[in-house]
Amino acid sequence: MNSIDRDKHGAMDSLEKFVAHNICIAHGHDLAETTIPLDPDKEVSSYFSPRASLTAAEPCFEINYNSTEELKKVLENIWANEPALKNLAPTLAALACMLENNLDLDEELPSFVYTL
Amino acid sequence: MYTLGLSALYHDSAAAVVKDNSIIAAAQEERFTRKKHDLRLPVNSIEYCLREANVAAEDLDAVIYYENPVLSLDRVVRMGMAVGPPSVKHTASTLSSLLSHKLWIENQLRTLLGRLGREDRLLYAEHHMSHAASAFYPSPFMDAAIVTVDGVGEWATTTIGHGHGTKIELTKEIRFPHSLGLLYSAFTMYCGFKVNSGEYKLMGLAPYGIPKYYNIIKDHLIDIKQDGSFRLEMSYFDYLVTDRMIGEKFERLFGEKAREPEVKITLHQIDVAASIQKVTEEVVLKLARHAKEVTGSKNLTMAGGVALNCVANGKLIREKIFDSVWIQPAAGDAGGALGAALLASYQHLDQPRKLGDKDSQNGSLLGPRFSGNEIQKYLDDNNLYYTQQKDESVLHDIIADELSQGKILGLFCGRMEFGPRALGSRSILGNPRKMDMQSKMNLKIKYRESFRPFAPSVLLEDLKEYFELTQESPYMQFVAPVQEARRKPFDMDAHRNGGKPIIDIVNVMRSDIPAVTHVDYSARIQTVDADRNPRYYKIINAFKEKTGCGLLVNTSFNIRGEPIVCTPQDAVRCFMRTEMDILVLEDIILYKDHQKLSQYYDEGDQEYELD
Repeated sequence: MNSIDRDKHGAMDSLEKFVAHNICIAHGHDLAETTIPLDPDKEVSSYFSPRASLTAAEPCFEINYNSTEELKKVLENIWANEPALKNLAPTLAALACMLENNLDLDEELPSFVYTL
Repeated sequence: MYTLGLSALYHDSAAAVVKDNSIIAAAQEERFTRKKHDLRLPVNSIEYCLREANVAAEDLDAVIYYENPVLSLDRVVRMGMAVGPPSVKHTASTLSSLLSHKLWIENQLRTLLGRLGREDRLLYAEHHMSHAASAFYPSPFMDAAIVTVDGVGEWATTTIGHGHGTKIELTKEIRFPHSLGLLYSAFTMYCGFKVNSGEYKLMGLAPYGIPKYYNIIKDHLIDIKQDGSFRLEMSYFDYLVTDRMIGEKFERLFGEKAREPEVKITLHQIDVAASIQKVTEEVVLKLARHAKEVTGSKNLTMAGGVALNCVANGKLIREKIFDSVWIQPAAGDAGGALGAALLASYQHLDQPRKLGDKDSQNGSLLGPRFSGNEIQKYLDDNNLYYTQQKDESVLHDIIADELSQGKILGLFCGRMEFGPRALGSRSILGNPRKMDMQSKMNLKIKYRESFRPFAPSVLLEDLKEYFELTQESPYMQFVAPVQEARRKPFDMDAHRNGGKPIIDIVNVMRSDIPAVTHVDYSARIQTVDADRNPRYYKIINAFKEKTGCGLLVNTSFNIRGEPIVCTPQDAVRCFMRTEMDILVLEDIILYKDHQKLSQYYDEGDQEYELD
């Protein structure tokens, strides 16, 4: 394993730890459940939401980042009003930089490809 | 003005080039790399599209990607928070795919192309907006309702909107994890088929069964509102926490474990297939009715992977909710490349939109073509025996004569199709009146499951003579019944209760065009007209003159697990390795019994993983 491989392997380890300690945490459920209903609700008449997204003011748009710092700013911007998410931006951007081109796309498609 | 649209890094990568308001070229990467559903950057597709358009990357007026990866990241992070500790590995795996490639799409494309058009910048469109654009802009309508339904794109799994002129507005959506595409895929996996390629098999299996699990699905798995919106009961599904679509609770609900791939299909899976198909149709019809109420339009356009469910599409037409329905032929993610390119052309570059007599998809013949010289050189270099017939009418007469005798013929001519259906450019053809044609083509040519039906290509003017379909279907997207007068009675119940494999019913004569009549007397129809595909039209006409029958069996030119052939080399290899009798490459004819077969069986080249 050369130093680059070690770095990338280390980055995957870091990612999994980061996910375990900062995203998939028990109290995270409280943060997200109000916006992500996971169960049917017999009381409502429709499950449609108004089409509102974070970037769709124009049908064609730029995102404008080419570096870790710029990506961090993009993430902080979309999560500006949600401190718990905004705090994740620096680490996510750094991990993205470490992991760039790390995944082997020649492998067979994962069976959960649709959920990606 | 030239626009390059791209889909990549999820599945079914593709590229498309639009000039002003005309679609110049579109192709899916799997056709070039021979890797089914290839998700890598569409290097070959881009190279082909730019060559076809005769434009350099630095001269493009816009380059646009079909998805917003930052919004996808937002979804994955929020879902991880919502689901919590059980989803650590799954969330990390999904995030690694986003962080390592998708988020860096702009850098990767700049490295590949050198410069991203004149302004050296990448535009993005949202996933369902790309689908919506692919559905509305090439349609023959200036005003239409738009429905998109797929697995997921960013947050949305279903959208409803309205297209008018060059403007598209998506007004409503259903959000992940509640997804009709994922629900259908969950059942695809449960019945032992591969997700993202086996959905067609599930749909083909459904007519053999009885929808006896319909109420169970509606009582436990999905709550459907009157407007077609729905939510899934997520405790039955595992796709938020593992790489499996379903969990043990799902299997307990249906009383059996999921079928292992390639194991014998039982009545249980057949009835499950019939049940989920019925639920899917119910949702699609309700969504369409709601789209009609919301938009007031008399036309409907659709895209997204669920829009490839041509049985549901056929029911949409028969329900007469809309006067006319148009569905993007490449309704899956590959078509997102085309939608994004069209969106940039109309909404970013403000190109005017004009309508002709027909849609502007150009018959979906948007891929590469190969000259006679290229074909001959390959055949000569490989010592293959062939004859050339430059007189078109004589050539068509020869083709019709061979088909009328029950021969199976590979047809390779003109530009390759864009989308999952072969429409007469990369097709295997047969005689629909031959009783054994379906099983012969399935088992000896395609090497695929014997239960799978074949589609007819019918002359547009003969449509009503054979089928109960009220509008054209040039892209093979609508299933409709065979005319009642042509049907032959048979006892489905006797087969179900007689102890024989239900699949054996495929060998029972069901109409006077048995090879294209499914067990419920339905057919997935391609109408062929002289404008969109003149050569194919003439071939069917020649067959009609010889036999009185204005339709042919048409299946894609590939074997199981293989992408549809792209080049003459692909076509010859597929021809030599199957029991096809004749291959026609433009005006060149190869007979199997004139060839030395050993070189193609011994060379040990690419084999394809079963789909």
